Amino acid sequence: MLAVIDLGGSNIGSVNNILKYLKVKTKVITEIKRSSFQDIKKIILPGVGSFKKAMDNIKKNNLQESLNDAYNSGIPILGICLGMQLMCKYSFEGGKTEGLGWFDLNVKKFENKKVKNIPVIGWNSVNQIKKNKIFNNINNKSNVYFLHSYYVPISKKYTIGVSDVNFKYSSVISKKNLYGCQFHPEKSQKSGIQLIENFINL
Amino acid sequence: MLKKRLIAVIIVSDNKVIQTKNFKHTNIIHYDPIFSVEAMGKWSLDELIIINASKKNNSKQFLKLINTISKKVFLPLTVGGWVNDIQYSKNLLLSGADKILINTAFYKNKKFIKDFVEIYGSQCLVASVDTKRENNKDIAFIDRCRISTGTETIEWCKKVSQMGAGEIFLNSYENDGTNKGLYIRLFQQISSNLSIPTILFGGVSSWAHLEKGFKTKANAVAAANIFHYSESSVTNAKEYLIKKKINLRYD
Repeated sequence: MLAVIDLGGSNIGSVNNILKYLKVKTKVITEIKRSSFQDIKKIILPGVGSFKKAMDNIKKNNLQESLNDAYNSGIPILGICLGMQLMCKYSFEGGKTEGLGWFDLNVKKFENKKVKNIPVIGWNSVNQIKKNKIFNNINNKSNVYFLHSYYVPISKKYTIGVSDVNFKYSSVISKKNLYGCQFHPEKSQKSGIQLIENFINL
Repeated sequence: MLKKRLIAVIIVSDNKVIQTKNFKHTNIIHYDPIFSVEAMGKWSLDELIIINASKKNNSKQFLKLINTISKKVFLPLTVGGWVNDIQYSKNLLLSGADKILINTAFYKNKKFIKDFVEIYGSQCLVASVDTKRENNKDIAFIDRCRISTGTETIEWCKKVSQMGAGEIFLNSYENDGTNKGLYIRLFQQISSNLSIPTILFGGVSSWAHLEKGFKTKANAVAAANIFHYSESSVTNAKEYLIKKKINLRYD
């Protein structure tokens, strides 16, 4: 069973559609009981909306502890867009807000001095700088769809994919059982479908 | 580098794909919007915009259509028409839409726009701005070009951007559905002056018209009618544009 966490503002409709297309048994949840992990083999943390609102929802639904348990017990977790940012320590969206803190990284806002149009909307290539199972059967520098104003800086330890908008940042990060992608695989045609399939096959 | 985007627009009235000229319905192109998306080459598309231009509000029927389309295509989906409250926006997002296109509410329902940005964020909000000539000026109009805002289009674009739009979808009354090409002079000026992305639409009747649009500072060019009249049209348009060295996704 794959669990998709509903954080309120998310476009879970799109994520569910692709899972249905791949014929994956899915459960949409707003709450995980700490005892029910035996049914859940994978977790997707999707995300559209604001960092602060999403963290508020996580706290309101008592999700933080159970998500930490899931991470510590080694269940693969994929964070998409805001979902990836939530895995970091802090974001500066809507004032400094604490995230789940799994990656020792801070989320920052793009600046117009470097990046002409914000939000960054559109297709861009991902440079796969480290080998990882999540990239199986995806050509290096394939194009995927991005939609964001905040970014995760490059980290020697965790960055496995880099994208460039006149300014380089992390488009894919990974650590142990954690995977985060800044783009929307559920909206990225064939390369995106492949990435989700890779996550399911982990 | 970030690629420019080639977008197909599907205008529906009672869930049939229609053609418009100067914002008036002229004829039905397809009875099945899903078929028309498949036929134009869905894997080549960078994004899809679906506008509900039905004369009466038929939100339930439209939601069902979005639900069906979003199960068939895995690309960014922007939808609009008759959007005037949070509940309907939420239902559209739950049906698989990624971005909501809003026009008239920027003028008539500012409270809704404010709430929308707070809940879903600017990246989810595309402002649709229609321009029309009035007293020798380019003026922004609402309600499918029936009511003037009295504000010059470029100023209106700045205003909707300040109100929280994450992107602007531009159309021109005089160009819509004609074979004149895009309203380049004004659109060039707007896309050079804004810090948010712009999508240019209205009047594309050849691949060369698309090319002209891509040579402005705009991030995206959109077309409707032209994509419906030939098989694999989007794929063919991309091949043409790639040859002309436009920076597009092509893999």
